[in-house]
Amino acid sequence: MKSAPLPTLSGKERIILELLAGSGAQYGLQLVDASRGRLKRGTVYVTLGRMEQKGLVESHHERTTQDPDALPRRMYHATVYGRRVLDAWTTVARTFAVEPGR
Amino acid sequence: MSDLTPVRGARLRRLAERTLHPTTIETVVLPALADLQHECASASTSTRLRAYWGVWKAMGICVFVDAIHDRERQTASLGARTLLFLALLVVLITLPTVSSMMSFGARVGLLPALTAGALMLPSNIALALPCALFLALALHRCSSPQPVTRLVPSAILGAVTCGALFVVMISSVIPAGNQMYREYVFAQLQADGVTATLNKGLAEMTWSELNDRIRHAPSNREEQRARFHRQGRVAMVAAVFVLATLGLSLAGLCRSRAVSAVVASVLLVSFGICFTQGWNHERFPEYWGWGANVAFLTLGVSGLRARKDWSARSA
Repeated sequence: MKSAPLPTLSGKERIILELLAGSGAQYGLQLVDASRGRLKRGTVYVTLGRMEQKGLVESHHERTTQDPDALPRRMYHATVYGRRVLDAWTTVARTFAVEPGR
Repeated sequence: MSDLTPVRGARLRRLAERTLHPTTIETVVLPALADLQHECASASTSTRLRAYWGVWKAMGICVFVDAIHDRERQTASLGARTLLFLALLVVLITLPTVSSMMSFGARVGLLPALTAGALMLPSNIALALPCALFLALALHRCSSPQPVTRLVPSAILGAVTCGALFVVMISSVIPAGNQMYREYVFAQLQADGVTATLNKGLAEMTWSELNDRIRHAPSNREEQRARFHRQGRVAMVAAVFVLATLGLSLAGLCRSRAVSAVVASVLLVSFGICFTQGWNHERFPEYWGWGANVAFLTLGVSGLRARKDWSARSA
C-alpha cells in the first residue's frame, strides 16, 4: 500500500502557524512584528506563499482599506490541515524533547 | 492632487511583472507591496527604507525560487545548452595548446601534449563558461510570446552560478593549473637540455598570494602591476554578468538561428578583443580596463530596453 508523504514543517512555518493559530487572521507585517525578530520582512511573504501552496494557510484580501489607491492587504489564516500539522508537530516535539539531566 | 502622486511600489511592481512568474507576483510580491503601501502612508524614513528593503529582498529570493521551480522548463533547457556550448568551446580552446606542444617536434609525444592540455583545462573551462552562457542565452528559441521576461530568472540563476564558479576558479584553481602547466612545460624543456629558471608570475598567484604581493611589493611599479592584475580578475567575474545581459538582450530576437549565431559570435569576439586589449596592456589607473565591461553592459541594457517584449506587461 502506498502511503501519503508526511507533511514537513520548517522552523519559520511553525512560527507562522503558531502565531496564526493563536490570534486569527493576520497580514505579513503583523506576523513579523508579532514574531519579535524571528521572522524577517524579506522572507515572510515567500514562506507564506509556500505555505499556501502546501495548504497550511489560506488567504483573502482585506475588505476595507483606508487608501483607495493602495492594494488591498492579504490576510492569512491557518487551515484545519495546518492546525493538525502543527498539533502533530508539537506532540512529536514534546515526545522527543530531551529532559534536563538525562 | 492624489492623481499626481505616484502609487508607492509601482516601479517595483512593473519590475516584478517583467521578471517573475504571475503566480509568484500574486502570492508574494502583491502582498508585500500592499503591506508596504499601508505602512509607508504614515511612517518615518527609516521604516520606509526597511519596508522597501523587505520587498526588494522578497523579489530577489523569488527570482531564484522561480528559476529553481522552472515552471516553463527554461532553466533546464538553458542549463543543457550552456553545458553543450561549454563542452564545444573547451575543446576548441584546448586543441591549440595540445597542437602547440606537439609542434615542439618529435621529442614531445602525444601523452605529454595531452597532459599539458589537461593542465590547461581549469583555465579553459573558466574562459569558456561565460561565453557558453552568453551563447545559450543569445541562441534561445522564441517559443513564448514573451521570451525575455520568461527567461530572466533562469538567466540570473545561470549568471550567479557561473559567477560563483568563476570566483572559485579565478582565485585558486586557475592559478594553480597555470603553475602546474608551466612547471610541466619547463620540465619537458629541461629534459631537452634547455636551461631556464621558473618564477611564479602574477597569473600563477592565488588570490591570497596576489594580495600578499601587493602588500609586500619590492617597488611601486610592481605593486601597481599586481593591483592591475587583481582588478582584471574582478573584471573577469563582472564579465559573466555583462555577457549574460548581452545574451539576454539577443534571446529569441532573430527568427533564423544562423543569423543569431553570426550576430552572437561577432559580439562575443568583439567583447573578447576589447576586454583583452583593456587588460593585457597595462594602463594606469587600472580602472581603464573596465571600458569593455561598461560599453558592452550599456549595449546589453539598451538592447533589452529597446525590446517590445521587455516593456510589455507580463501575461
